[in-house]
Amino acid sequence: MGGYFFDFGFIYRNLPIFWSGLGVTLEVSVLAMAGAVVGGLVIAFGRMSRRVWLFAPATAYVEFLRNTPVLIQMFGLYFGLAVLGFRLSPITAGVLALAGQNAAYLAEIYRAGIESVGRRQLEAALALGMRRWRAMRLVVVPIAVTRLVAPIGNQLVVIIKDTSLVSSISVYELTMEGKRLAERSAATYEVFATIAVFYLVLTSAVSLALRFYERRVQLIF
Amino acid sequence: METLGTNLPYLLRGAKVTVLLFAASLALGTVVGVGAGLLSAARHPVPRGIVTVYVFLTRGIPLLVHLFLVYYLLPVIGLDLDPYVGATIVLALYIGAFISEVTRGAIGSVSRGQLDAALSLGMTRGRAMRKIVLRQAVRYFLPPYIGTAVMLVKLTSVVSVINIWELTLAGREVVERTLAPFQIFAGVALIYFAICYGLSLLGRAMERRIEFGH
Amino acid sequence: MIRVRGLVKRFGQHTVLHGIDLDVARGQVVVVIGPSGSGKTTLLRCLNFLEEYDDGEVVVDGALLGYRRGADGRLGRRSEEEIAKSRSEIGMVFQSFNLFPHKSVLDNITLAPIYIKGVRRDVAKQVATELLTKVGLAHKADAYPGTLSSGQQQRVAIARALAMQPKVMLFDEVTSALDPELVGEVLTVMRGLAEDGMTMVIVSHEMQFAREVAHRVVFLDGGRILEEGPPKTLFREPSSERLHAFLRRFTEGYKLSV
Repeated sequence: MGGYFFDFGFIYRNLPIFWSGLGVTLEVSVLAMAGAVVGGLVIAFGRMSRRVWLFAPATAYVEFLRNTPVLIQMFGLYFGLAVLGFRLSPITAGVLALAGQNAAYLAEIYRAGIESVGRRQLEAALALGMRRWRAMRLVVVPIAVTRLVAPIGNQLVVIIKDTSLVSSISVYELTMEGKRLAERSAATYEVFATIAVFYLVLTSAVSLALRFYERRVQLIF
Repeated sequence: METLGTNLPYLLRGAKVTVLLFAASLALGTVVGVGAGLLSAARHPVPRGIVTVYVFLTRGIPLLVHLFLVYYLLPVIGLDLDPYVGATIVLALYIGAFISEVTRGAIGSVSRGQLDAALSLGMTRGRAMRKIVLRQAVRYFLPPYIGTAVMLVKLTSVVSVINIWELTLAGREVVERTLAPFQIFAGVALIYFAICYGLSLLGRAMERRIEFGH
Repeated sequence: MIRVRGLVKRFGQHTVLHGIDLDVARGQVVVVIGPSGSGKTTLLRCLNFLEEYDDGEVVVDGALLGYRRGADGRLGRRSEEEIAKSRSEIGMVFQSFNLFPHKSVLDNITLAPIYIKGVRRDVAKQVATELLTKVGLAHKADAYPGTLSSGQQQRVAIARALAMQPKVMLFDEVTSALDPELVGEVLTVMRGLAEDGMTMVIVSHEMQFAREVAHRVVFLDGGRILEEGPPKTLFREPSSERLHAFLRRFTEGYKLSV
């Protein structure tokens, strides 16, 4: 075990590497979250549509993406599309894959939320003379969103954790930087313990922020 | 398509390893997870606290980082573990945290009144939990448990990153040989889809049987 | 039968019961009334240790409930088995029935006698059938709770508690969750029990029922007993302003409903 069990000095000296990895992780996380949150909404409306040509592809999308590993989706986008002539940068492929799969999950979360608001509020809005889409937009969606803060938050945490997978298509984010650092030093597990702490702080921050928001929203309703 | 056809047997051998990894880690993870979920319903704060820390540490850190940590830590503490055994243990502990949350949620779905009624009849806490609360909690447990199992199938692909051979790594090897990534990864995705979707269908059938038997 | 002295119950910072003294003699029927949030339900739950009390003592049939005085004079929590044993001698009926949905009506009633008292299965079945006849539900023995009306469920819950041959019965707002037209059938069963000489503590909003059945009425407000006495005196000449106001709300409600 040598003369130490945890080489803090080594970690401290290499902090800049961690910071640069963290920056890329944040970038990928934020882009993927934005894509998933918006994309999920589009797919959710497709899933709830009464038109088959919207419903069927949305359903196929959700089922296929939720039942295959995001790592394979990432490889498909990065290596697969390149052969077909669409060369994506590793970051773009990673963000697209993460946003794509999580949009499928979020679509189902949205749908469950909107359906739980149910007929009654929708009918009340229709009875006031609103058109169907306006009633959805002004009444049903806002109520649903407040109920969905917790499950959406969980999904955002999943996105942060899954950004570690883009290391396998050589994006130099936190995990990749850690792996490189570990390979050219003796302080291997210290590096990953530090990285674990970074992720814990990130995911906890998102959970706490959403819990805070949830409490404020509950006070209003 | 021809490339996929000639390489399919190789991919299916990878799928077999994936299914074995999945089954072993699900079995172990269920024992750990249900155990932890039951502990979190305990009266004493110490076991509850331990479970909270376990779930927090597991759910807040990516599986890949857990795998790297163990991968690099084992030699340091002088433990020479078979990589498949190590990966199974990490997967099991990881999924166990999710299963413990599923268990806790299922117990919480049974109304507090059921426990009260059982206690008021003179059952001990342990017996009231077993005979009344857990018996009803099974209904709430199964649907999210199946969802967690599907998640585990997909998570097994992550072990390919630390060079453990299963379906995903088999796919990458074939791609390097054939230079037909689109075709091969589509095939690999379809194999995963078949496993996951089959599992969901199986789960739905089990749910229906429980509903009717009720 | 029951002796409560200086009972204090806190939930975190919030004190719900501020030193309650209460005596219930064998065969007596005591009805506890009071506004919501006055601590009625908490008091009742302390009487079978579903809530662990923080100070004072609850003595049921001569034994201190839930705690044991050690050699050093300090109180310690009794073992789970001992607590369960005391609870088996105290019947409780809940506002929300809490029947076991996965068991038939008959199994709901025989479960505790068979598993806890070790009564033979055929004997337990026979007792259960007699109790079901008593509450007018003999024909529902094989039904599942989910298929019964709220009034029927509550009568089964009473039969379930009676099957343990308890020394005392506790009733926690047992008619509050019922459809109005089903309240009568449950009160009839309780009236019958009172006439048979069962010791009962009843938390209720049914003032007319209290007037007819109670030997003593206790008025709880803000976690304290403000008044107690025979129903005739208490309802006719309330001495505190709080009870006066509380009763007036009920009579006004009554007038409105007429």
